[in-house]
Amino acid sequence: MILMTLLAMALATPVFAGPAGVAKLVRGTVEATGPSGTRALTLNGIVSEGEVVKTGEKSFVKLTMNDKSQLNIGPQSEMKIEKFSGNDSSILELVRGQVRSQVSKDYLQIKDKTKSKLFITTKNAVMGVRGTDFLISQANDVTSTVLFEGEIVFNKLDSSVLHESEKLDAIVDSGVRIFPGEFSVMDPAKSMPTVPSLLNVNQLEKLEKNIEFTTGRTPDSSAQENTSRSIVPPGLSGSVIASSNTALGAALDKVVTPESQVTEIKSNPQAASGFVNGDQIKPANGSSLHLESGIIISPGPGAVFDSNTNTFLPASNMGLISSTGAYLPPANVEITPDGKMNVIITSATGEVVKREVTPPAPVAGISAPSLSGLGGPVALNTLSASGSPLDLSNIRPQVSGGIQGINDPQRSVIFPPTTTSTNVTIHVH
Amino acid sequence: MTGMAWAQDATKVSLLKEAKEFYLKGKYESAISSLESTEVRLLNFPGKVGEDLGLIYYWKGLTFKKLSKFSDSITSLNLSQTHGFNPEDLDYELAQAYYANEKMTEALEHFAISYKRGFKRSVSLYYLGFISKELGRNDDAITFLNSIKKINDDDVKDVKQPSSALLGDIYTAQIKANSDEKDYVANKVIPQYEYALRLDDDSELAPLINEKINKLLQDHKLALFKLRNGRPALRPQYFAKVSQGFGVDSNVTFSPANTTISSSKQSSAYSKTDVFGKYTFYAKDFFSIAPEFRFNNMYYFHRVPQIYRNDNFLVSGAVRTAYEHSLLSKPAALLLDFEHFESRRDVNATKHYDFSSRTDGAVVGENFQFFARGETTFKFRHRQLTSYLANSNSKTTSFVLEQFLKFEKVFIVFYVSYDRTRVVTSAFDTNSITGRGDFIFPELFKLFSPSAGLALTSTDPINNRIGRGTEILINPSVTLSRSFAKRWKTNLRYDYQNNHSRDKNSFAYKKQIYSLDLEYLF
Repeated sequence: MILMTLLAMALATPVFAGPAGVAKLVRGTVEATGPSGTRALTLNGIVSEGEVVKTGEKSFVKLTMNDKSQLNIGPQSEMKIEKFSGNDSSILELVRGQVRSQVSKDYLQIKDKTKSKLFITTKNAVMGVRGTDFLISQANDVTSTVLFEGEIVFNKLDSSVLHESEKLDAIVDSGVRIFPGEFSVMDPAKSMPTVPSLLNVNQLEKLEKNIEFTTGRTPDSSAQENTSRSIVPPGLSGSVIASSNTALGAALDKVVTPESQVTEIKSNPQAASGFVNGDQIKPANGSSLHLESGIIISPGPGAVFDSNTNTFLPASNMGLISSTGAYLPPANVEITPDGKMNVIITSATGEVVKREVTPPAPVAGISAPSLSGLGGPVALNTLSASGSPLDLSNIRPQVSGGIQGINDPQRSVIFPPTTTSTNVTIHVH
Repeated sequence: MTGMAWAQDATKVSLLKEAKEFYLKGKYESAISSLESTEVRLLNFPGKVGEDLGLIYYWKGLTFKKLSKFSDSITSLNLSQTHGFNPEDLDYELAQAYYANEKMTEALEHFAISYKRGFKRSVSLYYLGFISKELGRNDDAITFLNSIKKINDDDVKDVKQPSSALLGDIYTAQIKANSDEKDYVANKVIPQYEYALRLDDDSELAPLINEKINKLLQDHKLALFKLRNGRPALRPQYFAKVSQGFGVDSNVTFSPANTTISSSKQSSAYSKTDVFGKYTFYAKDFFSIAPEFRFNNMYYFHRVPQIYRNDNFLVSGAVRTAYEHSLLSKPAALLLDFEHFESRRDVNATKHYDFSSRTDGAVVGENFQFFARGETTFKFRHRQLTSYLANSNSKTTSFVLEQFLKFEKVFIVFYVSYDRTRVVTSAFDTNSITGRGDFIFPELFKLFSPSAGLALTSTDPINNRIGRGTEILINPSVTLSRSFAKRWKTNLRYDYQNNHSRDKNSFAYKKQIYSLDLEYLF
């Protein structure tokens, strides 16, 4: 059987490069383009190094690579197989769209265990794969990645860097390390990817199941109710209202064997809340990801802290997750294909107005903005290094030694000049 | 099959293990599937399995809640109770699901039971207060929220402030019902919010409470917020600080009356204590008057006469006034200040503080905004110094220009002054020009804010040019500041001074000062 497959691959391989993989499942329109031109990629069709695989709307292809890895290319995607030898590190370039990869454990047989087994590059990011199951998405120059199993490293990629394994390895080595359940986003406007954070558990579970890129975008009948209010009353935090698993754990002790006892992971609501420190952004654990734009959606002010997973469970006022794992914004918010967030406001006269807003900082807490509450002019990305707005009106110049206070009203006493030196100190609160 | 058989059922154990694994990993939909399989198996099991079935429903109720499926959660939690499984948190979980599902009457009932069962009492009371407020039952809400103060459970520290702020919200909603709204806001509503704020003025809720207080003050004209030219009035109206510093001066210089500089050519560690306070009063929206006070003490640890005669006390006071108006269509202020300084030093090296000098001064100036990035201030200043040496009495007239510029990551301060000093002993008359630039980076580094400055002073001793020549003082400095615990700040500073003078004995000197001080800002 193996021999036959190899023979089929060899016969179908274009003359310019070695075979890299075979299409094992095809849905919709899928094309492969190489030096000899473009052809439709059909079931059992071979793809080779140097070829570009393109999928159309609602289309999908599952490629089984020659090292037994599986690459699932989502709708409206374009991926170039730059290098895929199976013996050394391979390089794929995701031009646009989404790829879900379940990398073969054969990769682990590469001699140098510290090196990445597979690199996936995009216009502005590079990912070194050292694990098994992940999703990568490229849209509007923003690259997002979610890890389901194993480990990946992720970093910004300068377009001038040659796509060579050693150079890419050096870049990913200084990048962020992502563990299962976490995601990271590389925005070209930032100098570094976001600090990996745990994804909204509901979205994670659904994305993990959606291996074949089913494209349903409406909440299914079992989706969370969007008519309910947040369980967290205004004023309280999502961690104080949450109850622990104590009662459940005690009850389970009585009915199942001791090794099945419910144990909680170490949870820390404060650390899970995220922060913004210049270009360094750590989204709150439990944030959702709008994969089509790379926009990170905060769990919001009504999120409940879940000690099972150390994440916040978003309230419905921050949007819903479809049965396929897609993030669906609330009715008053629209995310456009070019990555802009618009708020739809109905005026007193009934006029419907769209207003572009800056996506709120993806941090959790009482004062985090709720998406469904957006409606006025907002400037929500104004967090300073400390995480609180920098209020310049609180700068209090206090001057001694000859300079009187600047920027009245905090002018202060002048010393009689003991020397002619002048010292200035400014207090920033 | 009997209940015992069910207890030993391997499939059940396997399903529960699977459900537990999914549940703890946050795979709540998968956990529901496993629990539903267990439920089906249980329902088909002959014999008494009621309480175990109750556990499954309870677990399903919790899991549905995590998926925000509140109707399903309510159904499951009620079934749990029906099947005799009723743990202490069940009513709390049920009440939350009813609350999220907008069924407030049921939510009230179950939160009340939860409170009585002693589960998360302070949080239950908060919900009771909040729901009562939503239902318009303000008296009940006030009773519930006030009761939180008496609770002593793990959550109360996180609930006290929000409940106090919520009481403020309830009082705010009742403002219109009061005949004297202003009095009610001033004596009931704002004090309630202020009480909430005092519970933790560093919390996430604190800025929101502050915002509410400010809005009330503004809406009910209880405080001045903006001056007539649009400049914000100071809030708070006071500024006070205490600082204690220690440093090392490599060459302690003595300048008894601003006429001679004698360098000791000896180093000494020193201590510097500084107290400063200021309060700004507003007379309507166009005039402010701000008295201020400063006390300062220097003490040198090297106890030789050349050094310890520099020990000094300084007490000073000033009254600064500003007449607010507009210039170039932007806020401006006409400044008029009066200053008085009194200095006592160990001028005679007797280890006693004696009168050293007294300075009286007046300043007239104009502060305006010529550049969009910061304010400009021009000043004309006159000072009269009375020294313990009558021959050193002097008068100094100065023209000063200050420019403040605010960029995204740096504040720049420029200072230029021309000082004309006339001394009783005219040999010490001088004209001098000082230029200084300071660059302050408030957020360059996470741990501290650096600043750097350079001052250059050119002094022309007009009646002693042959002896002293034109003197140049070069004075660079670097400071690293760090704020911590909200009101504390520490500054590590290096200061270098090199005064070039033809008179090497009396006027030329070099020194380095290293200092570390700790400030508390009120």
